[in-house]
Amino acid sequence: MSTKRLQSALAFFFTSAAIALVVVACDATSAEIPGRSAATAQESVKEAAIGAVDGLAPQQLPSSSQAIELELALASRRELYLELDLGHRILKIKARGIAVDQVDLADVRLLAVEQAERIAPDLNPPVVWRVAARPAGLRPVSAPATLRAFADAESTQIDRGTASVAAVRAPPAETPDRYSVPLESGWLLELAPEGPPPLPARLAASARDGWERLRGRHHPLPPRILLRTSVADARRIHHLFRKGTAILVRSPAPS
Amino acid sequence: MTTESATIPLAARRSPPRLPGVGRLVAAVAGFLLLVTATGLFFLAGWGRTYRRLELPVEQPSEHDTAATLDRLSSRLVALAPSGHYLMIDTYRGELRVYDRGQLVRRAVVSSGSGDVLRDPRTGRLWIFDTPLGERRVQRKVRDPVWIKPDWAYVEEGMEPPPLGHPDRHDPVSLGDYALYLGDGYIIHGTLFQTLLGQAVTHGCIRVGDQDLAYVYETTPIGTRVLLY
Repeated sequence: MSTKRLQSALAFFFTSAAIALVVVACDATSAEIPGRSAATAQESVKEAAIGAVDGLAPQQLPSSSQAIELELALASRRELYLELDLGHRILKIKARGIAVDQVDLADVRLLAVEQAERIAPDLNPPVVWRVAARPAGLRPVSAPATLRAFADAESTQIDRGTASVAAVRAPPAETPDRYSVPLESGWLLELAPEGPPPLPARLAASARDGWERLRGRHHPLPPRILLRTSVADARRIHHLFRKGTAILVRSPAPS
Repeated sequence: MTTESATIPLAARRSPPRLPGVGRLVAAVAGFLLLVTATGLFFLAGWGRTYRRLELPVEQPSEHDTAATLDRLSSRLVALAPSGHYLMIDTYRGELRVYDRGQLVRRAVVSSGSGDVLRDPRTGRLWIFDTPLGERRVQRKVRDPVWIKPDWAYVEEGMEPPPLGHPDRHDPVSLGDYALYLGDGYIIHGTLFQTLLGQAVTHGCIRVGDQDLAYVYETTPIGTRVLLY
């Protein structure tokens, strides 16, 4: 094969690969991000919801008796609970019916696989979901290998005079700024400072899943709620997701 | 005058440099492998599942959403909120706030639970040093409190706990001058470790500096609601 032929073959291959990549990219993008009409429809819903509460604080949703009844049940207990407002992109930390803190979300996305229609499975707001397990990270286990016997001569009393001098502690591990919270409903709540992963990462994930399926390993891919937060906010609320924590999920009212 | 190009043989100028035989073979194999890999990846990606973005659901109105019903339910919700004198503790920021009749009257830097886990090597028992979240009430207040040290205080030091009631378990120093008991062993108290205020370093209790603790102790009656988050 002459050099010219080799060059032509390589050029043909790379051109074909580039075209194939563009085709797949368009397909994957359209799968991940709905078309303009869907996005516009979503914005319309949001605007309609804001308009419906004209005169109230912008964070407030239009009241519904079902939502208030659900919140009454949560607020009548002493536990902390969260209110996730999908429409206005706000996560409120609440106790006894009042918001003690809130996080403004940069973006909220609902994602699912093998969903023929773009309707969230088993999500009919207002609804109360509970955290199934804590997010991973930040739980160092301190375990002395053995315990020495307590001796009466060995006092553990603190000396008031020197205690403040001895008060040094290694800086704690940094709280994660991206994590996943499994919910009892089967959904996965994901908090991260950035949006969905870039196209190459999505393609790689899809290829990995394809490989696993070819090998007969069908692992579940739960539906996800992606909450895009700032790094500081993600760290600030990490400790609130304890097993059993209730999340009241709200959504815009129909326009 | 002669130019440089004039010295180069014509054949050398017109023919591009040729790859040696081994180079051509390597390039061909590499191209083939690249093609196979790309095809395989595209095939796998097509076989794999892809997350699709869903539309936000909408809340359907109910026939019970009348103004009277909403007013009644809202009133019940408002009635649950704390009023009068109450405390709020932001465990992440390390801040205690005192409210009186809805007005913020004092802020204090505090330490809260580290979230660390301690395991007893003898029994496997776990202690999680979290500060509880949600609402608590001040159950009792004590001046010059004595801390009855629990087992974990010894296990943490690598020591077997002495029997219950042992004099060493009585610690009159660590809790500072005042203690406000919130139940289940959780206490708002003072600290010897003033330099650690603001950090998540405790075993679940709330440590407060001396002056702020004196203020909280004097102004907070028993039964006061404490919201921790």
